[in-house]
Amino acid sequence: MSGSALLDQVTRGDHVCWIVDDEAVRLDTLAEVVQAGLRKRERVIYTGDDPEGILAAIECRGVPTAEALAAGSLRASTPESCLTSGGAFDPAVAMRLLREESDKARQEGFPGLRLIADMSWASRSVPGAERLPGFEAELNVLFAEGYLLGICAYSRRLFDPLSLRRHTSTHAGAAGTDMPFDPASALRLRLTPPYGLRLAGEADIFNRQALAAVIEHLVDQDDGSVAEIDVSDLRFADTAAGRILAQAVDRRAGGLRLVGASPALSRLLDFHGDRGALASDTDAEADSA
Amino acid sequence: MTGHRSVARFDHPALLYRGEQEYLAGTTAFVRAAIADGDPVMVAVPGKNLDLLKAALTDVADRVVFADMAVAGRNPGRIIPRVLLRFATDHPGRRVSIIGEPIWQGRTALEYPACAAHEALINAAFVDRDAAILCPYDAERLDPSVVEDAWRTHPTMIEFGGHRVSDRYADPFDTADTFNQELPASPADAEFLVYGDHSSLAAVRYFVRRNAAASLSADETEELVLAANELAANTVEHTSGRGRITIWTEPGVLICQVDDAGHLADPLAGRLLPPAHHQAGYGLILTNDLCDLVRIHTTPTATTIRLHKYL
Repeated sequence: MSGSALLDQVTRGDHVCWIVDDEAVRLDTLAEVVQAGLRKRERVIYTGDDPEGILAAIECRGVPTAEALAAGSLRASTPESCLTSGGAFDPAVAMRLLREESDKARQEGFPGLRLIADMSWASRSVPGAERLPGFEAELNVLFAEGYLLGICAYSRRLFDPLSLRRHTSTHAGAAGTDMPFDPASALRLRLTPPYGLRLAGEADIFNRQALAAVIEHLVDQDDGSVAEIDVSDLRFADTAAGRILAQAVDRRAGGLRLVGASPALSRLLDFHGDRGALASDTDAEADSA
Repeated sequence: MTGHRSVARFDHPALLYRGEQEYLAGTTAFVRAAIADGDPVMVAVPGKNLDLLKAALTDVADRVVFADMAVAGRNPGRIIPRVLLRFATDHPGRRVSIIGEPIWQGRTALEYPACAAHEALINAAFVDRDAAILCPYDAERLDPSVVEDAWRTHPTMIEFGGHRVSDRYADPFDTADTFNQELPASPADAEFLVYGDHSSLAAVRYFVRRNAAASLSADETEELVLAANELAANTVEHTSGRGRITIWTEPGVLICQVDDAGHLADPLAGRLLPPAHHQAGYGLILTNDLCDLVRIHTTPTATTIRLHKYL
């Protein structure tokens, strides 16, 4: 193994978009992330084209694939196995498969489920592939439970810069050649039962859809409970992230609380919240005048 | 009497005053006429003039909102969204009257083009709105070229107690474009970073944090980090190329400059709040809020935006 170490900081709960542009780096990194999962006794599932070829390549790099396959801690399949019988991508079917796998791994006593997906299939004319970004964004809720770890590999050769950017923003973190996954600058979303969420890291355009989907999930949980979003480890939020949070607080009207906002985040929340607030204050003044 | 007008009308006169007496005569007449019409009134003028007007309007102080333009409008880029339009949108369906004095003797050569562009763009931002904005100019102390520019940015003028139509008033976008001027070169030894790949915004933020922390407080540093992040995000979202961020200090100011191959085609970008349901379009407004001055030079093939934090 060459030790590219692009993804060695990824932990359970992370959902990472891995931009691939170098075949040697790809195979080295795949070997590293599979090996890391096996060492942590997680179940590792790889889906992608030519799974046998991949298994052979990482075996060459020192990963005991035969042993792991026999023990049930490693599985490899083609992406087609996750599509419908008609060969289409159906988010509902894919989500059900994922939940089943996740439940099964839990039942079998694995401390986590590590998913490594080669997304090259999405660049082909698969019916329903246009629904992938929405699905990937929704997935963040599942990842935020903290049991799954997801690495989605998108090849720069197959996806143009615009669609790469769109796919990146549905993931909480990103990595690429010479740009290892950095937990400090990625966004980390972790649901804290029963009704909370902890945010850490940095929220910007590259993880906007991931943040929006998880916050949307919290807002939708409107069952009279008070949900708390702990933002004390959120080191940076851009204006759009601030807007997502401010609007969520507004929409749940007292049912959602932000805890630990930095001065910068407080300012952003005021920025997005103040138009309505100021207007009503001044109206009250004018009415009493 | 209370005015109920059926047709919205925007008036934007400049008041060319000489001395305190003329200043007070022109401004208080404007305020008292608006109050008599039942219109909401705001006075946004710089410090010393604010004190003068407050003292002259004590009897109607409860009918007037006062703001120190040297604070609220220190960055001329935020006067339209945060002072003028805010007051107008706070009074939906009503004609508003505002004294807005964005240009005073202490404005620097660096600030002035942004102030003059602001004056021109008021005419575009308030078209179709029912409002009157009176802009006092100190004709004795301001440079004659500044007074000359006021004739180009105001459709009507008040001088020596009389109103007249400005014969030099021109299309506001054309006038604003004359202040879309090239910026002086950044120092050759200034720290810079080229960005433009996925996830490189984290690198931009790190770069700004590292280079600003020595000059700014922690909060101010994060303000600049946020502003620079919004500009760099625009590069990534709206251009196909890379951007370059440069940072340096000059006496009294920290400057952070973002260069990219984009074109800021809308002169009102950063001055008009998007409709409430829009999720995007807040970046430049926020940038104007976070900085003491934002200077922009944009062409179809390149844009330079310079953020200033006063020390």
